[in-house]
Amino acid sequence: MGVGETDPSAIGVMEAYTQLRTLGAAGLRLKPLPQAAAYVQQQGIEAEAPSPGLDLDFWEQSQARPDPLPLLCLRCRLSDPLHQWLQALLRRHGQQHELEPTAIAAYLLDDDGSLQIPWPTEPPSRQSFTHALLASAGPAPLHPFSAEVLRSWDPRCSSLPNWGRERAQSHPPLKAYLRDSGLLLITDWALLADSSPKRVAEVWESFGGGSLSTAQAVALHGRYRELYRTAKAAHRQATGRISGWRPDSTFLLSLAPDQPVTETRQQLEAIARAIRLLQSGQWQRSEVGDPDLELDRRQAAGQFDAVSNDAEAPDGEQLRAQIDAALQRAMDQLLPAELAAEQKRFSKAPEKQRAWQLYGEGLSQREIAARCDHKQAWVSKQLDEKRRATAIATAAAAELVRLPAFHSCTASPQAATRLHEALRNHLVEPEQEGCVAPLRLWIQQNLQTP
Amino acid sequence: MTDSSLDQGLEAFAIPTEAIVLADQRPDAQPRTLVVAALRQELQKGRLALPLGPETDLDNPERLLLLNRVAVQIVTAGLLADQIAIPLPPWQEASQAPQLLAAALVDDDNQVVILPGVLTAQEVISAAASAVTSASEMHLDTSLFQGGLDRLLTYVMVLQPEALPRVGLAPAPPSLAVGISELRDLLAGRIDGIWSNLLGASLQPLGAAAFRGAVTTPPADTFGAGLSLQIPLGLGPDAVLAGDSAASCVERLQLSVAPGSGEAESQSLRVVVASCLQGDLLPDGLALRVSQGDHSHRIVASATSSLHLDLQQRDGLITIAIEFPGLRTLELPSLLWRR
Repeated sequence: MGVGETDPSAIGVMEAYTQLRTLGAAGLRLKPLPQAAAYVQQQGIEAEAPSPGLDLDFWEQSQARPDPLPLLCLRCRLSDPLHQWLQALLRRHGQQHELEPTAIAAYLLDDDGSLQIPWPTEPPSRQSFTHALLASAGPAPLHPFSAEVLRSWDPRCSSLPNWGRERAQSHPPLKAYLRDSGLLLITDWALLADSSPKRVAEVWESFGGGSLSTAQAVALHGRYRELYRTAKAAHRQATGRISGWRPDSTFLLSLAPDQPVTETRQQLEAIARAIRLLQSGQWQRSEVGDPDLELDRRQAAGQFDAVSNDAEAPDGEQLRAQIDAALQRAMDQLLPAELAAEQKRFSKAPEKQRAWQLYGEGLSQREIAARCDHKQAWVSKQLDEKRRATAIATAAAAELVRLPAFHSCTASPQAATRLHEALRNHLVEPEQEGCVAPLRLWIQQNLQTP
Repeated sequence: MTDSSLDQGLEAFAIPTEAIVLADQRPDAQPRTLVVAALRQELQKGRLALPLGPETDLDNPERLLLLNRVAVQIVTAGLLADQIAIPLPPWQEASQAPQLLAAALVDDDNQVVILPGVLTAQEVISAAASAVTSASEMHLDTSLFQGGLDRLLTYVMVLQPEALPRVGLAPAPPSLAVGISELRDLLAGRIDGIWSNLLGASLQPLGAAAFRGAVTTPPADTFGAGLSLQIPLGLGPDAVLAGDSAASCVERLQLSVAPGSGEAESQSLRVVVASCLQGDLLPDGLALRVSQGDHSHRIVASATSSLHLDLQQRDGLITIAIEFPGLRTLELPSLLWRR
């Protein structure tokens, strides 16, 4: 089964605890494990579907004796929610961010079902994959990822599928890969800490469910935020890192002493889920391209009338010459180093050079994307037009305000902002149809072709 | 089995284009340190050699940042925060107050910083009027901060220092109601922070500029004895403005408020709007609206040089508003007639 495919059938006990979703040489596949199947049969389990109760049974069996098989069953069980999480990520962001399914699977589904795992001894060795071994592990990260999940799982706090997803969210190598692809993984715990009581009340009214009233949800969230800062400071003190904090059972108990910690955790996760439903929609709206530049481009001609000092302004031609000269100097100052850095990457990725050439010729990002066989987001990321135009406009504005015609812009934040925006738009917007905008023209003239 | 709820509440968010992804990872750094690192990274990228201080205490979140010699208060929150806490101590003394307030949203896990924008000190004072405030901090919606890092850099590189005045907040949240008897105190020299800072209110001898448009109207024995509260007004591009922001408007006006004098001082109040240039006509359509309890009076300029309304003592908040067609109305903080 391919990474992007969905298994439509419900999973029974045998499949859940005896088949492993794993990335092999031939890609991602569902691997039946005869040893796990024999172990499950030996247990005489009558339940039809996997459940937290069965997970706990296997967990307790793994603690009771130094046998790798109960953990092997749990590793199979864990692989399915990780696979689902991966699929959801690809469905939502795969195309837009050009995510490589196998690259992500390599971080999460790297368990091959072996009864032994590489162990960080000197020299490295392979040891039996047992609960006792995991419990003896030091702080160094373990491989495969399932070992990392299982060694930190506390069944009192979270179900195994949820714990697997949570660990995936905070898995450093995966986070780094996604960050490079333009995506951030943000944990429930950070999201809850970031949210005001007002937001929680709003989202719970709209998306909340379960037994909590809005007032109760706001109260629980308030207690969470009160204790979060202290807990995170203690985590930093203990680990030397700000990242990686998650609530343990002591923390959860202190939030709501009168209920089981699993329930408190589920309630917090439900609040975070409600916030995400609102928040992800808001972020997705601004995901494509450079909306500020693409949508808000106005004709540059005439914009400077509003920002120059009428009484002292030279005629239009002279004014335009001053503006163009300031922009040219700013581009000459800023762009050579930026372009040199880009050009270093051209030999490895010729399509990047093609994108720059087409940009210099005046093609839109959409047209460039089509010709380079990439998404528009890729083009936007390569060109980084908004940032470059903004930096040039800032430098040019600082120079122009020394001239009498623009001096009035130094006295008012609004006028300074208008000047800056006008310069930035002038840089990226052609003056007349058929002309090439100054920034593109500079690229056209300075891009070295092989 | 597929869990479709995963799609709806997925934990991954696209990095906004304006985000600063830190090149050097600092896993143990506090948010302020990450913001300073992000600023440095962007200054270097833009080849902007702007001084950043205080050099020996840059990472101290309690210190104002000096960017190109402009005092900036940096406040931080998480990347998806909808509100941000503003520590108030720096705003207590006007002479030491920040010139700009910059918000920074920080994801320390991913080492990403977003600067959604800045507020000038005057915009902070304005926002404070409706903010949730405690003794030590106030909370503002992050959506109030606009313009991103671009605006911060433009302000500190382009503006003269006097275009970014330092303005202090009153230690206590500004009261919406000022007693008429307290108005006399205002006129005697104790102008409340919001009136002076936000509205640019000042005291003028009565009978000079204050009532120039209505100079023939007020009887000298009623209104001529003391001082009047003067507020500069202007017709901006999209709103009626007050205070410093009115100074750059082409059409500039003056609002005057004064209690009566003698026996009438605690029983009457006069509100006048006139042009800044003596004898100039007010723009047609300009309206002065004064509401008091259930009563409301509104007069509209038509070939006149001033508008004025007299109020007699009555229960209820007094609200004064200046309206002009097509512009956002300016409403002043309410007054309360106290016996």
